[in-house]
Amino acid sequence: MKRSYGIITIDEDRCQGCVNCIMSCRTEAIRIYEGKARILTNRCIICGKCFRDCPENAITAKTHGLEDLKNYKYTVVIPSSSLYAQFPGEGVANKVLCALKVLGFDDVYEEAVGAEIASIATQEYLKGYRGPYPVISSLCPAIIRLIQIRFPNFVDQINPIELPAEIVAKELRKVKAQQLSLKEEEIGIFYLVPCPAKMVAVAKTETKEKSYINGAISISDIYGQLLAAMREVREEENLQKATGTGIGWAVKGGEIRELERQRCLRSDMENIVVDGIKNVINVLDEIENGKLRNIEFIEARACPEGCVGGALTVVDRYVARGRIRKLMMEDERKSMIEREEVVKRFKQGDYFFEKGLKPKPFASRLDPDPVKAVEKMKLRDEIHSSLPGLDCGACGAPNCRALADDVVQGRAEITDCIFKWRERVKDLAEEVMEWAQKKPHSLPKRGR
Amino acid sequence: MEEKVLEWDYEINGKDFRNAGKVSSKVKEILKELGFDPDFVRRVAIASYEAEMNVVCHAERGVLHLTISPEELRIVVKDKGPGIQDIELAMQEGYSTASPEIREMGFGAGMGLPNIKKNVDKLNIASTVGEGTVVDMLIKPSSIREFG
Repeated sequence: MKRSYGIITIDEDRCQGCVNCIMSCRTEAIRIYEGKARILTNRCIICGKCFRDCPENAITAKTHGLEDLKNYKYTVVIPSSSLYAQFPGEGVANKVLCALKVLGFDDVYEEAVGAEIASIATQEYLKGYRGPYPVISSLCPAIIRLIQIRFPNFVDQINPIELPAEIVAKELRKVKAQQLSLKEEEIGIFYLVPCPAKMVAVAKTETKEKSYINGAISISDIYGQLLAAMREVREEENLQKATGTGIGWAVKGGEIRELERQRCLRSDMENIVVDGIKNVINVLDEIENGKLRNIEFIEARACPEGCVGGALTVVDRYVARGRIRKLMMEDERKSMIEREEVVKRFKQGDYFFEKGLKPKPFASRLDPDPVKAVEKMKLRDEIHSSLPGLDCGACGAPNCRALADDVVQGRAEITDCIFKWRERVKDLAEEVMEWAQKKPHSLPKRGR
Repeated sequence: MEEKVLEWDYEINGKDFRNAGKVSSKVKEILKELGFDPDFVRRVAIASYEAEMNVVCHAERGVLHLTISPEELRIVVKDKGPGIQDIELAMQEGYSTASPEIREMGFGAGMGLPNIKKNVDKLNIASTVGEGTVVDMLIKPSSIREFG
């Protein structure tokens, strides 16, 4: 049986109820219940870390596939820059783009071009920025969700420039409709994504009424077909328009690298590149405390090494990072983006979120009623200190504190802890012994 | 009705820069779990961090005592240490007695106490030179912001 949580699906026939996923989740969003993994959706940031850490590959995400292409008169695919890193060999980037056309897309337009535009827009935004620091990159949707849930204070500090793929899609839809004399809704724009976070950013965008992209397709879902299609590419059409500047966004540090090269970061402040959710939580925590100060810009990525480490990619993230870096370093072509045009359109407000992100600060609170929250916290701390503190996960919660949480929230029982359960059994056994030894006074002291 | 008061005690070790900030992180986590307004949480986080750092930078050891009641939050940081010679002077921005080593680490800019004052509703400092310092902070939750 398959159970869905938004875009994420857990195949319960495959799930063995082991503790790998609950232990790997940095936001403690998974529990084992009746032998199967269950997701607490209000805590989940849809990063996809558990996809990778599940030994049974039971956790996946899907919203669209190649079968959805037939619903449109004309289709365009926007491949994530991490796609180039999925194949070895020199000059492979353009060939991959050509292979996408073999798969049935009418046109291909790179996300990396959007990244080049987004970078210029970010540079302009930073130049005129007068608000509180640091400014936080808006590139990783999992990080945005993490901030909304755990660091609501920082929501207004997220760089309000749209995802590169959305910037591209918005433009493409208009241009293509005009060129082909089609209605805008007759054009199907698909985004080839490396992770479930980007998938949900399209399916349930929070920065505008509706995404300019019709559907997201996972790189891993079409990888096999794409490999086969690459062999069918006879004559290469020149489809690669993006340069190293934009492609570099697929790896951590790619965004800041361009800001540095354009000398648009302040010399009197620092900037940070941080990857991995645990590390991002630590850094944001220290900034919130005031321990880390004087930081202008943070590029934070949920996946280690950046988007090339996404849960829906195929190739090892470290190999992939190396390939992207090669493309970044060796690519001396000048960007085809006209800076003046981008600056002009930035000033018209073209690249901004169409509506502001909202904080969701109450995902971690114990109760909407403050008095009840206090009661629950007292009880939770009592229960927590009575637990063995092994954080073994056998109860189905990732650690003892999380079990104590679940008990006060009515999601679990204290005897879910096998040590507590054993204590109860022992107490009961002792009580049984005590009763077994009691005798009526009518009987002699010895004997039966 | 029975008064709902929550209390916690956390120990702070002087010169333990590795763990510096952990106590204020815990305080912050508690407030988030209780559902306090994010801006209130931020003010408390900054004030408790600065008070914690004062102990780490200047004192031998200290205790942070946190009390939460429905009306207000109180943090008392009591340390065993050199004490403050002139509290009025210490309250001035930029004044610090921190050693050069501590300054090299990016602390001791003389903003600690002024920063606390900015973020709390009531601040009381009592100090005996050669014995220690008590920093007593009172913070009231601001009006609750609405979230969609």
